[in-house]
Amino acid sequence: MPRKVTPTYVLLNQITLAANSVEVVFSGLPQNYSDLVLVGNWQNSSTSSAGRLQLNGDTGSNYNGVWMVGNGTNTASGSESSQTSARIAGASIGPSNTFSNIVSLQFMDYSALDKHKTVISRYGSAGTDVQATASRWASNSPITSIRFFDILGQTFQTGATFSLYGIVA
Amino acid sequence: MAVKSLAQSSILQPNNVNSMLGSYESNYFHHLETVRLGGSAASVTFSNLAQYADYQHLQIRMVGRTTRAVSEDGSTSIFLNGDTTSNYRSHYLVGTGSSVVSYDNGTNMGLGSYPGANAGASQFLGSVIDILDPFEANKNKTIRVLAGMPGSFNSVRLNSGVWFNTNALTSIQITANLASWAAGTRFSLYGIKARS
Repeated sequence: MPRKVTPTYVLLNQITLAANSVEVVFSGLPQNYSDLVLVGNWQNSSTSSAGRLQLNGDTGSNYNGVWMVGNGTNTASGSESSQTSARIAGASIGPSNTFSNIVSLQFMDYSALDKHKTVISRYGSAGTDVQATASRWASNSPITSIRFFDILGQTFQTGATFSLYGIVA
Repeated sequence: MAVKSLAQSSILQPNNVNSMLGSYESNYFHHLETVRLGGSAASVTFSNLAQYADYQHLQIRMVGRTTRAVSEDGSTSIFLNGDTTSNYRSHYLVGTGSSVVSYDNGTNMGLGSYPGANAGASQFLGSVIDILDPFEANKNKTIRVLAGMPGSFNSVRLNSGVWFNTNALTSIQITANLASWAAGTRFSLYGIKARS
């Protein structure tokens, strides 16, 4: 019997900012995938920035996070609970014209009804540091929208890209 | 200001997604198999992998929890080709929420901690496991893992593992050593093509 394989890792949408923006929103997400992958390449208007995300417009205290960072000299790890948004890796990317800051986020079982939603992410920039972060949204609801913003009010800079992929299971 | 709302785009018609994209994505990353547990199981095995030997790499995307009566179950393993002897080695780099620590897991190819039965309800840990060059007969088999979850315990980690054997991969067994994988745990296997 021929094996059955399914092509996946489907590009759902890509946003390239034509102007600085305080937020980026993917809404109306389809529910026929199991995981989502977001690949971002962005810079903020200041190194005093803190990129965050919210799911389904939930601004309640339902987000938890843990992260680790290495900058070539030191390592650090921190955690947070009952926040109104989730930390993402690469949270303090400032403006630069000389190197890229790549973030990849994995939204695991985003359409499941029996699980809190876990997001694992990595960020790397040889000019600053390397990070990994895990976040959990304490909700069993399927993810229908993702909002990226900066909790310190900085903007995502012109040219930033956000590519969203869907993976079936 | 929302820069983009997909509610106004064709993303709501997923059948059209492939047709509006190039073929790059669909030609190189394929879903092969998924096991989603309706009840508990001590281990899950993907077997007969030779049928996928035309892929360069494999990836397992896993969302897991065990039935062990603890909050954090650190006794999980991967066994390749049915080899349960000490032919493995693995290392972890873990952010615990207070420090970054590293472990040498000795002769076991461990996957690290997953929430156990005493963890908070609905808490599952996500993992992306890459198995590199699994069908090349001149290399020991290596894996790398990105995994994490904040909750009843805090962990974000990078794992590496090696099986000291050059045989082409034929099976992957993912085991909860001291209990079972809980209902709802998902294991999905993907193949990644190399450019010919």
